[in-house]
Amino acid sequence: MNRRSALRTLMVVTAGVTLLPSCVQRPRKAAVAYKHLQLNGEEEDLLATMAAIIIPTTTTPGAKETGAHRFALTMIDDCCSAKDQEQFQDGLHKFQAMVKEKDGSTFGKCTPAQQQQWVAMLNDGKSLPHNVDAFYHMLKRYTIEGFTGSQYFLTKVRVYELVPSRFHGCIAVNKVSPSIDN
Amino acid sequence: MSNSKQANTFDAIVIGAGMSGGWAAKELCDKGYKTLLLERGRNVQHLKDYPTTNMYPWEFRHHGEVPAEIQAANPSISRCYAYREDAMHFFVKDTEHPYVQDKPFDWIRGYQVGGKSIMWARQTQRWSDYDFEGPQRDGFAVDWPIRYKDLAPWYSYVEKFVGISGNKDGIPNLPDGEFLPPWELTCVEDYFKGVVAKNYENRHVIYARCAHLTKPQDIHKEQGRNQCQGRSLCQRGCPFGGYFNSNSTTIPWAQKTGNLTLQPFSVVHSIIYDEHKGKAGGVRVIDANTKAVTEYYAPVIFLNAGALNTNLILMHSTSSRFPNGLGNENGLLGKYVAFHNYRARISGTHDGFKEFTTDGRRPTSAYVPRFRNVFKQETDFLRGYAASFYSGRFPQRDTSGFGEALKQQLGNATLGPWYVSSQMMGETIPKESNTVSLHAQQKDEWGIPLLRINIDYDDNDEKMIKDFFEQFKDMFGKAGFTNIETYDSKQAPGLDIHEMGGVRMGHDPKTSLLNKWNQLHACKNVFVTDGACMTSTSTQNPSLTYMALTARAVDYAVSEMKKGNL
Repeated sequence: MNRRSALRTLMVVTAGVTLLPSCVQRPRKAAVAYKHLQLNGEEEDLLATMAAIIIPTTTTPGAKETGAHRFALTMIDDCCSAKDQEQFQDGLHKFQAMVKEKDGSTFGKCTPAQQQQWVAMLNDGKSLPHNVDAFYHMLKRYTIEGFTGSQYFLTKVRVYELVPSRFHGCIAVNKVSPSIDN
Repeated sequence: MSNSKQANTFDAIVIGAGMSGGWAAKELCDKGYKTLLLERGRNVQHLKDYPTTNMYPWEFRHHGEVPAEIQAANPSISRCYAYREDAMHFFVKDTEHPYVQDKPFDWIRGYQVGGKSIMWARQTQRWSDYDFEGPQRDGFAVDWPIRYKDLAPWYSYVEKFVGISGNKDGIPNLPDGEFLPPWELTCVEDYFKGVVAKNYENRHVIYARCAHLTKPQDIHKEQGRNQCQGRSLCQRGCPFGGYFNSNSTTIPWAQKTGNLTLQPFSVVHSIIYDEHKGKAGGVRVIDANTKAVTEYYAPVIFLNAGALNTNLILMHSTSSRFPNGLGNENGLLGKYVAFHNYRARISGTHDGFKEFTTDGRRPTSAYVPRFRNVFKQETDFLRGYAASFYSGRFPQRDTSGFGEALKQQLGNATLGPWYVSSQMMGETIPKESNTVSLHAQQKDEWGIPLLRINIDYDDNDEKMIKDFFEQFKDMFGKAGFTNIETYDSKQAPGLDIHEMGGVRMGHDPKTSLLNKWNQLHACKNVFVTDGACMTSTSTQNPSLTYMALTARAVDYAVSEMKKGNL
């Protein structure tokens, strides 16, 4: 490296550093590259945690194991309108602000009990700031869709048959397996 | 003849490898004619080129939904019910092949070997004389030059080969055919059938005849097709060959004869008119990829490019003899285009049969044949409508909670009440003002003018929608259905995917383009046997009629060739 280019590099680095407030940590990058959504790693974690509270892991897989929250984000990123995406982002930010104001922390740092309370409040949907309700219900709707459309659900809970090889037009309800997704 | 000309000369050329083009090729090859089958799109080989056919729901990135950006860029195709993640690769995007909408028209296309026969709804109801005699009796369009007796043996011929599942219902305005066994009706369909039979004269609820192998016969086994397994994923292409498409049936059959040359990526520029011979000499083709122009020659040409593209090719086939398009001496080419009115729907629920449900899947529904103005004119609008009738129970899930309670609910879906719905399939009256034409300036990538589409509903259609709602509310009411809701989608023409006409058949060269054998009156060695030939539309799904007309026309063409008349 010659002296001139080394000096230029140093100047660029210095300029970068001086533009950053000293005490703010750079937010962790999202694990997935989205086309439209702007999410950082912390927000991704928040959404994953929230999805896992909506459909928890019990003795059987929940949202986490079935990748339902990743599906939800894929759908919101690819299949929702720009307006819906804005609502989602805005609602998410307002929700983060609510948590910060009340608990003085981030959702991720809340205790599991506090997190449960937050989701209960969102699910209740009463007197929420503008777009927070829309944000939550978008996440919930697609998490449910991801879960009920997952390989686990469609092979173990309600079995989807690729090749049913039959059609009964009028059969007693108790003669049909409750685990078949007709 | 030069070597290259010889190499490019066939006994017959078929333009378009879809539903009717596949039939033309199959019939010509069966009769020993070396046939060139031209297709503007790519090849789709049965089994090999059905990439999604064995995919499970969770294997689709968006569980079936088409991403918003694709929908926004392609609004027309995105309105098509079958344009979903599992079959979107078989549909033409608006952006790929633009056209000019003088009035809103959703042009649904499938540019590939097999055409739209891959994704069609597989409904196959015959026409009767109450359909063929419509224009003459009611004073619109021109008289059909054929009657039911002309087509009946060809319906049978085609049905046996295709494989049609149906019941013999004995309804004069919906003739019975050659049927394989039907799937069952549901309890509610059966019940509704009884209610309608008891309360109305000449109204029927029947099993909707469809192109499915419910019990394959020897001919179907010979085609390499197997019994329909009720997957109801037909739009992806069927690994069993359980439904009819050109890819599984007519095209491989034609290939087996050794007489077929299938040539994909061949955009037809025009049909060449040989002034010296006084007939068509061949076809000018542009290679879709390299844009190289090649001419092919044959003594007979079948034009099966799909109704509107068939109009386009004829309009673009100009010569000093036919400056306004091949065979267009009367200026009627591209006029009197019509379609089916699918705007109206009605739905409801039924509280009975709670202890019963359905099991498995069925690739068809019930059907209500036309009952309005069949035997005589009885309303303030012309013609009438058929309707689908569907019933089934859907799982209901309470999704209000969250956590373990929600998870439990999702696994314990309960059956909702029987849901019932009907969709209207209305006849539209062909009008001179419903037209397609060539755009004067705008051209596509291959230098071919864009098609201008100028087609709309009229007052007759509006009255028919009103009547459908009134009659079906009455019928649903008599059946005790509740929560009845009516819905007018206001969808543009085209979304019915039953565009027809523009090159209509008729007795008189002054008022029609084609004669009773589907020959151009003014250029006898060109046959048009796709939707473009239709003089009127009636209410039935038209593909079966196109196939029957095609087989009949090939039979005639062959007899004429043997006599040296073509």
